[in-house]
Amino acid sequence: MSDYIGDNIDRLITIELKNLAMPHNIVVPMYEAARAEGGGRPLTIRAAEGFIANVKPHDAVFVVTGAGYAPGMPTGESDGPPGAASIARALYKGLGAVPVFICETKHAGPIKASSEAATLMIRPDEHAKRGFGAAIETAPDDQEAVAAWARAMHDKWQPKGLISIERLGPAADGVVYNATGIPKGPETGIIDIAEIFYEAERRGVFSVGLGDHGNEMGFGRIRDAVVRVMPKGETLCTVVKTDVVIPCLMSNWGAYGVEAALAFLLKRPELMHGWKMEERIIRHCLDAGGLEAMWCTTDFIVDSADGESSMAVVQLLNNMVRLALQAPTRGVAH
Amino acid sequence: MPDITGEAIDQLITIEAKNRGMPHGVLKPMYLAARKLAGGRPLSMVAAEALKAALHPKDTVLVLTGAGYEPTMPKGESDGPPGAASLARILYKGLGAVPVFVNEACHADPVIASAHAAGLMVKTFEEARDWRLGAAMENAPLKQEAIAAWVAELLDRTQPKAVISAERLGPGANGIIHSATALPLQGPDNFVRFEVVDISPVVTEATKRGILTIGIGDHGNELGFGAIRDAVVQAMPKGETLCTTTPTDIVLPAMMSNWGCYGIEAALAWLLKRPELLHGPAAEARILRACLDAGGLEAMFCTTEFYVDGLEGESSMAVLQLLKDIIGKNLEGGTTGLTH
Repeated sequence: MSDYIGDNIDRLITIELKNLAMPHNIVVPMYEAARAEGGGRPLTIRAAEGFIANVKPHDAVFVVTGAGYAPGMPTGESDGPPGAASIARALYKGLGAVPVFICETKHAGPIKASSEAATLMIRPDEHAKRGFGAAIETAPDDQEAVAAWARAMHDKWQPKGLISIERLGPAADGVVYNATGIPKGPETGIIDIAEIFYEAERRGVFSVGLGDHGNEMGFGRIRDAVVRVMPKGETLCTVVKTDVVIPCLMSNWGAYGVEAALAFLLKRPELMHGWKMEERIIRHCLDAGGLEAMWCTTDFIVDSADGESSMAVVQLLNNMVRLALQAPTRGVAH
Repeated sequence: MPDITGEAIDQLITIEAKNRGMPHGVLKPMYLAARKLAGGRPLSMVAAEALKAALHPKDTVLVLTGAGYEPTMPKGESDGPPGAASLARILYKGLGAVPVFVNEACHADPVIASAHAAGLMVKTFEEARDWRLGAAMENAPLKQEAIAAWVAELLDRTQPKAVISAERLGPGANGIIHSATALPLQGPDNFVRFEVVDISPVVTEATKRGILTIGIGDHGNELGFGAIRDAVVQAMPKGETLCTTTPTDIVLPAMMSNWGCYGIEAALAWLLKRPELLHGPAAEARILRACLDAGGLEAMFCTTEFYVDGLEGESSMAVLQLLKDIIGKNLEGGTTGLTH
C-alpha cells in the first residue's frame, strides 16, 4: 500500500504547469531519472522511510531553504519556506524531531513567518531542544567563514536527517546559477552553504533534496538527466548530492509529498496540513518578503502557479492519505 | 511539439486514490492500454481533438450517463451527471453543439440539476436545436424490448455527430450489466431492485453509422471499455465478468468519470484558446451539491454527503483549480518574468 500511495503522491507533485517561455517538459523526465537511479520505488515514500528510520525523538533535523536574492527578491521567494515549514512541522509532530532551519540571514524572515503560520514556533536553541518547536541558524555573511560554521553546526546539533527545499547549490565551476543559467554574482550577496551538505555526507546523515530545475542541492545525484533535459543543464546543474533527490513542479510540493508520505507511514493523517493552513502559510511567507519568483511581488502565486493550486494539491494529498488509512470498506453499494 | 497540456491533464485525472476495500491499483494499466489504442498520445487531448473535428455548430452530440439504482441509489450517483453536464456545457458554449443527454428516466433529476447548476438549460430537443436554448434530454424506454427501435428512431431524429458516454454501464460477456465489484445488475441474481435497461445499442448503432464514440469510466464495466478488454481482465478483480463488451473509438479511464469529463473539457478549452470555458472550483461545488441534493448520491454510503466515489468533493474542486492553472499557463504569453 505504501508504494501505491507513494506512486500517486509522486504523480501529483510532478504535474507540470509552467509558462512556456520557462524551461518546460523537464519535471517528469528528471523525476523518472531520479526514481530509476534510486531503485525504482516512489521517491516521497523513500524519503519518508529514511526519516522514520534515522530520526528518533529529540534528534535534530536540518531543514535547509532560501532562494531569491536582490534586487528582485532581497529576502527570498515563496517557493521554499512554505515547504520547509510544512515538513518541519510534520517531523516535529510526527517523529518528535527538533527541526533546525538552516538559511542565510537575508531569508530568515519569510522562513520564520511560514513556520509560525504552520503553528511551528521558532524558539531559542535550548527551548527547541526541549521540544518547544524549531530553531533557526543563519549562515555567516562572510563566505570564508562558512566551512567552519557548517562543521560547528553539525557538532552543535548532531542532526540525524537533512532536507533541502529549493536551496541552490554550486555547479561544477563553483558558481551558483539560477534556473535559466544566469550566475548569482556578488551583487546578490549570495552565500553558498554547500558545506552543510558535504559535512552531512562525511558524517553519514540521511539527506533529501527537493528542487525543480537541477540547480538545487541534491541534483548532483542525477547530473546526467539534468544535462540531458534542462536547457543549459551542463552549466547550472549543481554538484551537490543528497541520498534521495526529488524533482517536482515546485519544491514546496515536494515537501508536501514527503509530508503526506510521512503521515501515511505513521498512520497519522492529521500530520498533513490542510488547505486552509496552506493558504495562511503562503500568505504569511509572501507578506514577510518571500515573494513570488516571476514578478517579485506579494501576489498569491508560487513559481507562477496560483496559490490556489498549492491549496488544491494539499487538499488532494489530505484526501489520499485519509482514504489510504481508512479501514477497508466497500460501502453499502458494492 | 510534445503534448505538454495533454500530458499534465492526463497525469492529474489518472491519480488514483481508493479505499483499500475497493479495487485499487487498477487505473494505470487500463489507462496505458487505452492510450496505446489512441496512438500513444494523451487521451483527454485526443478526445477533445476528435470532438472539435466532429462537431460543427448545430450538430447534435449524445451524452450518455446514469449509474446507481434502487434501493441504494434510486436516482443514481454523483459520478456521471456532473461530468456529463460539464462536458455538455463546453460542447454547447465552445463548439455550438446541441447536447442531448441520454439516460434512464430514473436518473433524469440529478442530470438536469447538474446541468442547471452548470449553467446549461435542459429544454425540449426542438428548443435546443432550433432556438439554441441549451441541451435536451432523452429518456430510454423502461423495457429492454423497446430499446432497439428507440435507438434507431433517436439516431434518425437527432442525427448525432458524436456519442459520449460518462459512467454509463455496459453489458459484460454474458450480456448482463455488472457493478465495479462484479455484482450482477440484471438477470436472475440482480443485486438491485430495479429493471436496469441496457442502452449500449446507442453506442453500437452509432458505431455502425460511422459516428464518433467516446467512453469515459473508471472500472472497466462502463461503455467503451470493451476496446481494452484484455487490460481490464488483467487489471480488475473479476474483470472477466464485469468488463463490458461494448467498445468506443476512444476510451478514457480516469480516477472517476467526472474527472475524465473535466479533462476533456480542459483540453477543449485549451484547443479553443478559451480558458474561461472551463468551469471553476466554485461552479464545481455548486454542480456536485445540486447533483447530490437531486438524488445523485455518493456511491460508497449512498448519502447526500459531499463526496464522489469515496473522494471528498473538495478534491474535485481541487482538480478543477489545477486544470484551470494547467491550461492557463499553457495559453498565456511567453515570459520568463523579471528574474530569469
